[in-house]
Parts: sequence; C-alpha cells; structure tokens
Amino acid sequence: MAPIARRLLAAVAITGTAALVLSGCADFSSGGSSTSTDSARTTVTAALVGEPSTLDPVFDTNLPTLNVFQNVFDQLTTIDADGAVQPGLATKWTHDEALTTWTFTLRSDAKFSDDSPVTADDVVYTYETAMKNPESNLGGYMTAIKSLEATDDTTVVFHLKAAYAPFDRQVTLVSILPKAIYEAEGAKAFGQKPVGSGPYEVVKWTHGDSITLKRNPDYWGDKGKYENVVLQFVPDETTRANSVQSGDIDVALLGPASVSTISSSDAAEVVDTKSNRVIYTGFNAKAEWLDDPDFRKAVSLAIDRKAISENLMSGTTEPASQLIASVTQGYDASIEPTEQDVTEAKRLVAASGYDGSTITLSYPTTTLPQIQQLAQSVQQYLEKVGIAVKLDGQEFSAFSANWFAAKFAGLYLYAFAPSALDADLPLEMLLKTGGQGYVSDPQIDALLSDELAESDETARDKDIADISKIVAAKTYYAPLVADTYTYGVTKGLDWTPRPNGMILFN
Amino acid sequence: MVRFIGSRLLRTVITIFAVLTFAFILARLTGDPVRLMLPDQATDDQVQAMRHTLGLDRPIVVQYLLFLADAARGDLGDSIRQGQSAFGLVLERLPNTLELAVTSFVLGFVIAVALTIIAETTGNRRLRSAMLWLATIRQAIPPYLFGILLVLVFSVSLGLLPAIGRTSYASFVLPVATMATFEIALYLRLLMSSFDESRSLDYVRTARAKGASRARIVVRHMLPNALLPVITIAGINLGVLMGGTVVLEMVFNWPGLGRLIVQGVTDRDYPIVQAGVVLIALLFVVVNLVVDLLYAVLDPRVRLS
Repeated sequence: MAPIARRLLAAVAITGTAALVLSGCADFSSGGSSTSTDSARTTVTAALVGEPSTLDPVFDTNLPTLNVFQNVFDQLTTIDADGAVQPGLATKWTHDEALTTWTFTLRSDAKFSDDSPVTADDVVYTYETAMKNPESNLGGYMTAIKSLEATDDTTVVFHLKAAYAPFDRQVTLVSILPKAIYEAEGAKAFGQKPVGSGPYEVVKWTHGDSITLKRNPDYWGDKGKYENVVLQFVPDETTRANSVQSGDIDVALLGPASVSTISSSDAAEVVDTKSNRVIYTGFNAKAEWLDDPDFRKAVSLAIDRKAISENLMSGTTEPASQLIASVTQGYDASIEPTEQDVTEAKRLVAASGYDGSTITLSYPTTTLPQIQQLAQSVQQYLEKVGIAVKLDGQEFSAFSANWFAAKFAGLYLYAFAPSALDADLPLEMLLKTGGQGYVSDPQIDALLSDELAESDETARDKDIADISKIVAAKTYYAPLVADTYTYGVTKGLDWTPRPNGMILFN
Repeated sequence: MVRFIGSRLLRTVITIFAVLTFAFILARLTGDPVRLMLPDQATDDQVQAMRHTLGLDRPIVVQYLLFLADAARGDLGDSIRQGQSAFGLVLERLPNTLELAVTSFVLGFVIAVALTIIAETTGNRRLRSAMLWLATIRQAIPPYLFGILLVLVFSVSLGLLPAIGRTSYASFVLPVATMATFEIALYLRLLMSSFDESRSLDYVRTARAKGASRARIVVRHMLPNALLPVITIAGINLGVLMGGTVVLEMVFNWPGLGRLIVQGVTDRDYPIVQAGVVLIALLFVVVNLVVDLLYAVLDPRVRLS
C-alpha cells in the first residue's frame, strides 16, 4: 500500500509541475498598463464590452468592433464630440437638388500604414465589395446606394436609389479598405491584422483578451495621443468597474450600479457625455386597449421619469421627450418630457372602459441598464393607475427577433441608439407604415418621405420635429429616459467621450 | 481487464453521442443569430440570404443529421460569428482553462493532504476542528463572490495584484487562490472523514500495537486507504473544475474556454457552444476513464468484480 501512496503523490506532483511548466511556456499578452504619471504615459488601456468576430470591416458591424475600426481606419466623414459631421477622408461633399447624387472630394495626403495613398479607387472598392457580397454585414448600411464611381483619383460619386438627406452621416459607418492589400491577403487574413489609414495601427490581436494598437506617426489628421493603446475585452460590468479602480484599465464603460463606487474612488473618476440612446416604452397599437390613444396616454402619464432617472439610474439618464436624443440630428428642444400625472392617468383609464384585464410588458433581460428594475418600476407605476401588468422578460436575441417581427403582446421596453446620430433611421424603423413598429399614420409617412428629400437642414429638422410632436400627441411611443455614456476613467487621463459611444484616443 | 476497458470505452462513446444531441437541442432552443449579426437597416432579403448561407433555413431534422454526420468526421462546424473552425477556436482557448483548473487542483490536493497529515500526526483536536470550520465556511461561499472579495481586497484596496486578464504570473494568483481554496476545503473534509472511519479499523490497531510511531501510522498505513475514495471524487471534480472555471473566467476576465462558451451563448453562435460542450464532456469522460482504470490498478477488489 505504502509505495502506491507514494507513487500517487509523485504522479500528482509531476502533473502539477507539468502544468506550471506548460503555463510558463505560454506567452502573455498586452503586458498590463503602466502606472506612470500622465506626462510620461505611453500606454493607455480601454475596455471594450465585447470582442470583434473579425477585424474585416466588411463582416462585422457590432459597436465594439466599430470602435476598433474608428481607431484604425478612416471613413469619408466623421462625427465629432458634439455630434456634428466633420470631414474625414473627404474634405468636402456636395449633392444635387434631388439628393440622389452625392459627390465626395478626397484629401490627397491620406496614406495607409504601408505608405500607399488612399485613392477614390479604394473607396469604390470598399463600397462595392460590401454591396456585392450578400454575407456582408456592412452591406446593411448601404441599402440606399444604387451605384458609385471614381471620376478621378480624388473624386467619388454616389448614385442613390432615392433621396437620402443624412447620407453624409451614414458614410461615417463605412471604413475604407486598402484595395491592393485586401485583394492580395484575402478577407480572412486581413480580418486578423487589418491595414487602415487611421490614427492607430493594429499590432496584435490576442483572441479572448485584447487588441494592441500603436500610433500611426504619419496620420494626416489629429495624431494619436498615446504611443500604445490596448483595447481589452471585458464584457462583465462589475469586472470593468473593479479593474478601473485597480488601475488595470484606464477607460471603461460603467453601469448605473457602479457610478457611486467609482466617484468615491481615489484612483478613478466618472466622466460622462450625453448619448444617442433613448429608452422607450413601445405599444402594440393593434392589441386591445392599447389601440386607444387615450389609454396609451394614460400609460405615459403614469410613469415618473424623474424618479427613474435620479434614483434607479443614479443620475446617468434624464427624462426623454422624444424618440431621439439631444445629440441626434433632428432633436427638438421645445418638446417637453411628459410629467407624471396620476389623477389624469386614472381618469383616462376609467374613461377608456378598461376592464382590468392583464397587459403584458415585454423587455430584454440584458443589454439595457437596470432593465429588470426598470420593468418592475413601470409595472408598479401602471398598477397605481389601475392597469394590471404582467412582466415578460425575454432573453435578448429572442426579444430582438420579436422586435423586428413586431410580435409583442402588449407593452415593451427597448432602446434605440442610431450610430450615425441622425433621426431618420429610428423614426423610419419605429414609425413608418409597414416598418417593424405598430404605427400606421399617413401624416407621419408623408413627413418621413419629405424629410428624406429635404436638402435644407432647418426645413428637414422641422419635418422631424413635426413627427416627434405627432408621436407625443398620439402617444405612439412613450419615450422614457435619454441615456448617457458614463465611464470610469483613471484620474487625470487626457480623454474625451463621444456621443456615439466610441472610445477614441486622437 | 480487456472487458473492463471495453465496456468503459463503449460507455464513453454513448455518452459523447448523448452530449452531441443535447448540445444540438440546447443551442437551437432559443433565438436566431442572424438579426444579431446584421445592422438594423438590413433588408429582409439580406436576412434570408444570411440564413441560407448558414443553413438555418433547412428543417431542424436535416440540420441535426448533417450535424451528426459532420461530427462523426470530427468536424463541428465553423463559428457563425468568426467563420473559423469552432473546434479549433475552442481548442485554442483550452490551455488557458487547463492551466487554471490543473494548477488549482494540484495545489488544492497537495495542500489538503499536507494539512490532514499535520492535523492527524499532531493529534491536536482544536487545530483539526478549526481546519474543518474554515473548510466549511470556504465551501459555503460561492466562487463568484469569493473571487470578487479577493479582487476588492488585493486589487482595488491594496493594489497588489492585477484584477483581470492574463498578463503575467501575478495574474494567476487571485483566480488560482479562489479555486484552490475551494479544492483544499473539499479534499480536507473528505480526507478527514476518511481518516475518522479508518481510525478504529483492525490494521490501524495492529500497527499501533506493533509500536509504530504516530507519524508512521498516519503516512504509511492510514493515508493510502484514506486516499482511495478521494481519487474517485477527485476524478469527477477535475471534470467539474473544467466547467467550474466559467464563473472564474467571467470574474477575472480570463481568456479561457468558459468565457468563450458564455459569449457563444450570448451571440447565438451554436457551433462554438456545441464544440465547447463536447470538448468539456470529452475531457470529463477521459478523466473518469483514467480514474476508473487507476482505481482498478490501486484496488484489487475492483479488478476482480
């Protein structure tokens, strides 16, 4: 017996040593962020909430991936910290009166990081590659385009299927590829180590962990502030908050629950900016009771948006008056958020003849801040005015599929955050007859087509504001709160948040 | 012995088939990945085209048979999001998970044995019960909570160790400490109760009567017998550990297999989930097979039956 025990212990010890040796052989990634003072700081580490599936812009359009692309690639135009469109690769752009032909003039000093110049050919190649490939996710952003052509080395002309007023914003989502390199390497290889013309270059992608970038010293525009940028994938919110406090990460998106911890921390501070995201209550306007505008109005009046913003969301949101946020093109500041009015809500419920039957409130169980608590609050507010509500939390992908197919039983909670910071996409999707929503209003449909074909910005903003006013009057939706992007940031770090949620370092 | 091995192998094959079926059903029960992949503006035609290329428009039975046929050839499909071999992606992450699981297991096992020997040879009742209390308390705290507590103390407050990632040897300390303390508690309690049972057995009394020293009785006579039942548990537990690191990998943002599977579930990336579950099941089955065989070697009674 005794020798067996000894052999057993020896075996365990050998396995252990082997494991340690094995892990010793493995190379470590990123190398951790330095804790040097800001003037000498060369490396900054930021958290991405998810990992890209590929770094080929043609095939991944998720927000964390777009965030990498905005650091590594150029787009024809960009969105600045105030939400306005600014020149990118294109120095100027014009359109015809019908808004169907758009001409972009490219700068001549932009270079990919292999030193080859960015030409009109590269732009045409990028768009055509995405449009021709039915598997391209990026192609989803190009549904308005009929064709495009390079008329010379620095001019690209787009022909659209119909008038599309916010086209100069839409192109901010399309990263321009180097034609020669992309063709030579193929999509798969390019997707592992892409080459762009942006302020940073990709050094290394450690799967499951991080992407390391280094500054592009020859960038034509605002150069990178840091020599190295590490984008680390940290999906868990608590983990993000902890690692900002411990100094492992310098910039991380926070949830309402972590805000107070970070603001009392010695190592990190809270930095926020208004976001493009509005959380709203939607109605299946074809369901019983909810087809009555007065009943919908009662739902909207029952909810205390101030209390939700201040208490539940720890001040990270503010009451919303419309389906688009203040940073989004088309926002009308004159519309006021609905104030809670329990008496009026009760009166409207009574007047509707409501018989107390239960109304379902669907919501996604993840991806929105404090969503479970928010759903419960809405349920309680509605019960106070006499509306019986049953909660129906759905797993996110199931919820999202139901949203696209307009398959909710009654009420639902969701959010819209248009990356191009323009009102058209959310309003088209939520309000157009035959869209994914439940609204069918000829007046809104007419305003939507007007707005798309309106070349004068002021007139277009007025069309959009009129739509928002109809939504408020008929309570097609009950916008709840406008979100902020709230970050935990290492104290003293030189960094500005953006209203589209992108973490940029130039 | 041949029949013994043969029956265990057959059982292994059946288990893997069951796991494959289970993984397939589980992954398809909810959700369609296509809408999550495409931008909001994507048209219905684009959605249909994507569903077609992914084979999701075929009847579920056809999908299942194709899946089994491919699996039999060792092909578990390509990741929907990443377009690369799912099994390859899963294997790429395996070492990161193994190093956590095995290091925690070995440390936990060795320390538990050492502590038991100390407690038994000194015969100090207070030391013994203190150890058992600590072990019970540690087992009562879920790994998620314990991990976060360690992060709050050693990373956030003291700033001594990294809170996340796998960037240096220091990164191993907190996750391994979280898991290894749990392992120590588990084996400590098992070994001690094993010792309790054998203390009054004949061979121990004989050894004592012979005049053998306390240390000799504990190490040479009692320990080998006490270890036997622990081996079975250890085998199962090593498999559990492989899956159990999922929680740790989330807390410490460890780039391992578990986090990849969780991400796969969120993204509706069926092939990743299937490949991950199959790989963990394979490891579990193999470890148990080894334990069964080891047991047959160590305990003649198993061989005879």
